[in-house]
Amino acid sequence: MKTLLEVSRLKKYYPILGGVFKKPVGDVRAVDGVNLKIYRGECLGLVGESGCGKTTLGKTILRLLEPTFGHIYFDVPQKVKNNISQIETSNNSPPQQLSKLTRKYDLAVFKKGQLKSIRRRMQIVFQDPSASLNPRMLIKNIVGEPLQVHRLVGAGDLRNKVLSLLYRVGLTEDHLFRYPHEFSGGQRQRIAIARALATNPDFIILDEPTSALDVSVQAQILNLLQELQRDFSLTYLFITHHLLVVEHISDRVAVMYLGKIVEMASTEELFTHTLHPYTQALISAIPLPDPTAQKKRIILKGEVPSPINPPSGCRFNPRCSYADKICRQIEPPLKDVGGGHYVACHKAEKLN
Amino acid sequence: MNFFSLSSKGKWEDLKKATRPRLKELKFSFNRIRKSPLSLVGFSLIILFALIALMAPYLAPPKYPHNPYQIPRYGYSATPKPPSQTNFFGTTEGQYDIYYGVVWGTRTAFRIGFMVVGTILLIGIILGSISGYYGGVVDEIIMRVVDTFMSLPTLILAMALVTALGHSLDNVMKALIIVGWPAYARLIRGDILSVREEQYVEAARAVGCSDFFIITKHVLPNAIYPLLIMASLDIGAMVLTAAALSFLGLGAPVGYADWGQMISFARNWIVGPPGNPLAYWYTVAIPGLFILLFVLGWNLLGDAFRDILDPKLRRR
Amino acid sequence: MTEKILEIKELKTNFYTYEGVVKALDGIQLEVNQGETVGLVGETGCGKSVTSLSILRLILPPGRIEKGKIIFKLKQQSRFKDNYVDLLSQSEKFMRTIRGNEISMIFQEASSALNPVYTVDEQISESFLLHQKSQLYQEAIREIDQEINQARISWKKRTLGLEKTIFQALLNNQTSLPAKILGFLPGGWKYRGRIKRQARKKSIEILAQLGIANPENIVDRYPHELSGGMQQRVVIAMALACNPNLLIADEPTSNLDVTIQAQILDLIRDLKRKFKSSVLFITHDLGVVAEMCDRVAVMYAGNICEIAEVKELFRNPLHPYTKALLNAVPRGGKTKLESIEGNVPNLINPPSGCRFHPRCALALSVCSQVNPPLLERAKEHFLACHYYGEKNK
Repeated sequence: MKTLLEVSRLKKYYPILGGVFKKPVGDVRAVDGVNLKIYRGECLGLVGESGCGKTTLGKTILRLLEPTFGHIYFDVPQKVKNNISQIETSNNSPPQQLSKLTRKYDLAVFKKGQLKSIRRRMQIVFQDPSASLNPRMLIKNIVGEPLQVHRLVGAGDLRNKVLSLLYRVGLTEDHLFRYPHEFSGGQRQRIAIARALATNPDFIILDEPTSALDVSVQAQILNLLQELQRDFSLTYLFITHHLLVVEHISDRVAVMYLGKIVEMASTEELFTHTLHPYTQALISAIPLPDPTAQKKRIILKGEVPSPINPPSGCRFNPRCSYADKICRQIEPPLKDVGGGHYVACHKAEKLN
Repeated sequence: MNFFSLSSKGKWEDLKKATRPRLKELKFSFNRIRKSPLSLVGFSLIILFALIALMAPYLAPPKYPHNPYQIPRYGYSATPKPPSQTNFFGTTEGQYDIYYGVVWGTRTAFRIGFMVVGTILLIGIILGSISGYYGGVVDEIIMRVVDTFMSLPTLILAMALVTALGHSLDNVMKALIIVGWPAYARLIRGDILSVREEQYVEAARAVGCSDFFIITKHVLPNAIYPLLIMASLDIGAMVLTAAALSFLGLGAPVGYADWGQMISFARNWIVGPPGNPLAYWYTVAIPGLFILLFVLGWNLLGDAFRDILDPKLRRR
Repeated sequence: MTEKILEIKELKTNFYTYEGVVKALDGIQLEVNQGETVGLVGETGCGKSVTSLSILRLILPPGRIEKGKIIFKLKQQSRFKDNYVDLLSQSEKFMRTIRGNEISMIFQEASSALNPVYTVDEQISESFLLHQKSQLYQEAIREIDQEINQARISWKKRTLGLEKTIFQALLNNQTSLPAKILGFLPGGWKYRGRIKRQARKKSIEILAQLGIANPENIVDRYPHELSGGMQQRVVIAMALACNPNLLIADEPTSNLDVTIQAQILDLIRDLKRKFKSSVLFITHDLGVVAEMCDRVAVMYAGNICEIAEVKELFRNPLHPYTKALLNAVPRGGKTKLESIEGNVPNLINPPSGCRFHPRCALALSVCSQVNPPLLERAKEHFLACHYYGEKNK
């Protein structure tokens, strides 16, 4: 499988400014050292509770937020990536050599022009379609905007291209000249998807695309997304807090907790051989639409700690029932326990 | 955005379709106005004044065609004369015709209002947008300049400026512009700060739009309405301030058709001779009434605009 | 047979907007029995929340309750026959004694349901001060008695005695003028302080009952100092403060994370057992319904289309809409989801007859003409569908 997107040691800190002179007094560590590979044509689900940094990660990958540290490689040959990490680890190579390479390949340090061209290939669909569509623009202009910005169509073809996009997402010609507020939530999300498809991208970040929608509409949108993925051979990063949705749509799942990825595996593996105690609790907490289901529920104590002062050692240790001394002191690395199942837990082998 | 770039085949159809939602909005707006009688009064007042301004050459044919704003005099006596056949509203001090003065003064009032508020709007939008959208050092500098201007009393600053620039109507307008823009810059900056965080702006950035495009297409159309409401209220207020400056003798040259000056002429005749205190009522009441109705009209219109445009009051 | 606590009959609520009349509720029928949790499920805009607001008569203009009956059983003795009262025929003043006392509500968004300028204590105490004055007076008198026993100095005993007589007078006649005046007088501070202290004690008590660790600490905090889950717990505490007969939970966990949602659902279940209240549980999440409810009512576009026991409904759904809804939920695994074609209808011009017929695959000609009545088709299984009737003729 070919890697399309690779994120390496990505960090996004928000400085907390204090005092009269607005000096930084601390950081909110929204994303704290994330390594991630997304293969071409797959759908990677990114799950976590609110405040775990999943949306921040998505936006940072698109450079809607400036990363604090780390590399983002989009469609870069493995050789170049190896080369960069080699230069970074060796001490005696000149820094110009590194910056020359990163400026060309690392999305995290791209300049405006480069960003614009890369954004043709990466798009995002936001959670709330009523907020992500400009209320004072007609649908034709909303969907046509990316085409115009990237000068992908001649003036005469715009209408037809927009129309074909609308048909593709299940809307009709009648909808062309309307304002977003005249649509229902599901239709608005279709419009947002049409806009994301306009530039014919390779990779789309779906940031909770169905969380604001009703169940029946959610099913429509999920089906549509799967169809589109097949037809346009798209790669998805599907960000959500809804585990059943992720289980339905994703090929692989990554679980985030407090700015870090704690477990990552293929969907089936993750739901059948759950290793990390947090993932176990998360899965057991899902209310299943089946009144006869027998469940052993793990109820977590307490709340998610603040990302300003994350707990030392394993970040989950204050809420974990298996935690002991080592968990409080040493942060577990995310390591492969076999078959592409990554987990960051000292007790993983024992729990297995 | 541009229906002119459509293929010629469905162009007309599309144009019709594109206007339909806008017409619907417009219809809703008119419905709102119709339901509030005060806005109707405001509208009629402003339309009336606009008609007076347009028809001025017919309502009061100028005596000096090369300089129509010069009020004709009917003698040189200081004492005002009451309304008569020749002078509908009488004459004021120095025998200037009041009727001619107020009719042509309407034009002056509109000119002051539109020029001043229009320029202020332009400056305010440009500086406020830059300040609000980019933030940081630029924002800091612009806002401190705004603070400086706003820390001085408006009328006094305007007076000082007119005195420094020289007495003329143009300088009054310049002074009002200099005094007025900071409030606008600050208002739109606040709105832009909140709109900038909206998700559709982020979506536009994700699409790859340039900053200029984002500001003009996404941010301003959603942030400008409070400013337009304030502008419509301010047209009246600016005319009032200009009248105040004229009254203080800082405005138009003597004999220029300007409501402020008309009142300034009446300064000595507000109270009549003993036993008949209202003898010269027309000198102050008639120009005063014109100013009052003009300002009232714009204020009511501003309220109507707020009803129509304020997103919080709108359905949806 | 358990007794009915709430019975809604033919409830109609309209909203008069610029575009036209929104027929939000079109003849709702619903019953809630003592100690039962009834789930009200449906999609956005189907009228779930309007139903709950109609029960409390909190519909604001341009909305109006057009007709119907909401018969509710009061927990306290009253002048009504068997304590059953039609809420829609009562005065606004009477409704104020109902809200928060007999029927209380848990709102979806805890952060906006709490007033940011008051502490947790002040917000919970409010319902005690409004609805349980006499209990507070009794407790105050008990406290004074204790103080009298402990007091050594005779004049102190005497002032305490005076205070006690005041409270006793208040207890006997709560709405008396002196009681009202006393609250505003400078000397009344002492009296109010004592009452507030009692209310505070009760607030701490109820927080402790909710299983919150060190409630004494939580009570003095402001809402923004609490996490989302804790805020929702405080809202629940406010709702349960007066031990209501009926608790309306309007999407209480929709804004919470799954792990926190699990905590809150557990809590509500426990509390229901402890307080023996009935719960009307409004949600769009079928998973939550399956876990929480005894009976379920499914709503669509202002109508109730199916009511059944929860197990029966999930095992044997009869209404086409319910079936479609159940098939649209991801249940894990990769099976293709079934979606319902089309959109929820506009309630200004709702479809004639059965409001679901334009999206229904089984629609008959009668469906577009006659609105199907809600009939008992199986034991305790109510259904509003022509197709079922035709099929089983």
